[in-house]
Amino acid sequence: MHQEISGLCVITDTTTQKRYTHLQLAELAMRGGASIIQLRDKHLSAKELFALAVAMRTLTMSFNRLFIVNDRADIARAADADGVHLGQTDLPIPAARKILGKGKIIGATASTLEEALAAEQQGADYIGFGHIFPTSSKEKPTPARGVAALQEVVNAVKIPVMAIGGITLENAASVLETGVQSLAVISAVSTADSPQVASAKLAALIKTYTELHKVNRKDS
Amino acid sequence: MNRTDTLPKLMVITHSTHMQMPLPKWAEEVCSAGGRLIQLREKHLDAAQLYELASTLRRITLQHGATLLINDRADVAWAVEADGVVVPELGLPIEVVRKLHAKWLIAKSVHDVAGAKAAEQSGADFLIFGHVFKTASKPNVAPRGLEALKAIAEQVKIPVFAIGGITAQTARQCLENGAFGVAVMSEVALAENVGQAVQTLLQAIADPVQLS
Repeated sequence: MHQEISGLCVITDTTTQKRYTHLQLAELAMRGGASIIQLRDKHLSAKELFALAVAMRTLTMSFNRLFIVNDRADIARAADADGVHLGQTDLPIPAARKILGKGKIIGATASTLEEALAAEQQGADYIGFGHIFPTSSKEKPTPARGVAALQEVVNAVKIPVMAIGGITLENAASVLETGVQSLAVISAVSTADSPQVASAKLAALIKTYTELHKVNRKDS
Repeated sequence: MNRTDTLPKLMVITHSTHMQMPLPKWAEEVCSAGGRLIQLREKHLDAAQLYELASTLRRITLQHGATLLINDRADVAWAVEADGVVVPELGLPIEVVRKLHAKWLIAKSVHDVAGAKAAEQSGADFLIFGHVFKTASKPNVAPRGLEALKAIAEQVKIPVFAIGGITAQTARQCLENGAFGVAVMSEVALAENVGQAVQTLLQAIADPVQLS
């Protein structure tokens, strides 16, 4: 069985910033303490994305971190990534499971409680819930969901939840108070003065809250 | 038996944005008219939409015993159990696609002799070469012509499909210049009578080719 989804997930992005390549960002993020790297680039051809995924697999392996490919289950499998992350407009979860098998991780984006429950029911290994706060990373047609909605999802599903969307070092604590296992960030790391330091701070914060929640669970 | 032993000579490619009818109905008409090789190529669609269409086309093509290939997205091909993949020029490496699915029919789009030989070397089952004639799909690129088609066909052993500006008349010329078959998009996608367009093309390439 694969490692559980937890900690900081950094989505490498080369549209919000041009200073670093996907690989450079991933390396800085992992040096800082990111547990998961997600590769997302909707502009690359399959050929380029595959080549990048292979390089990213080697790099993440050397740090012993999880590597998730966005959208393309074929590339996730061919590059031996740990899994795929599916948005609502990507392949259905069972279709991706057919390709990746049970040993790989399938994450699914949800922006409502209903979507989260449906994704869990269809066999997702984790829920990427958001966006929590307004974000400039992508064109978002829907309003920000807020921490209360996240709390509902965390309470309702049994699989790990990863919060995403507009999370910064300043608001991360409010998100982590919900008991969410993981935070995914794009700009908070990619556009930080030091992506490594930003990752380190976020990873440390997640760790603090994760341990706090563990203690609380034991007490209750 | 080779994967290409029963390969049909006419490949019909989807072009849903230009069709007069919904894609499933169109595919039904193509198959009913005798089309036995369909390529789903809808680059503007996201994977969820593509998967939906591919599932529907899989059902229709199976009913008619037709072959279904998916452009670029090997994951969609896998998920709907298509017969194979058409790898675009900037698609996944052929070896990688083959490793994903050993039994797949894998076609590679090529534009020159070097690309054709490389694709054959890496294990492509057949090639799609073009565009041979002037086509509305690529208005700003000069057609490569029959001579180039002939040169490619002579350099590789695997079947070559000619693409780009294919009509009943030009299809014939392609076969006379070494093509195994032809691939059409606009000619069938835009046709007012889809079935008739398919039949006309099939007839044009059915007669034995006179070698001069």
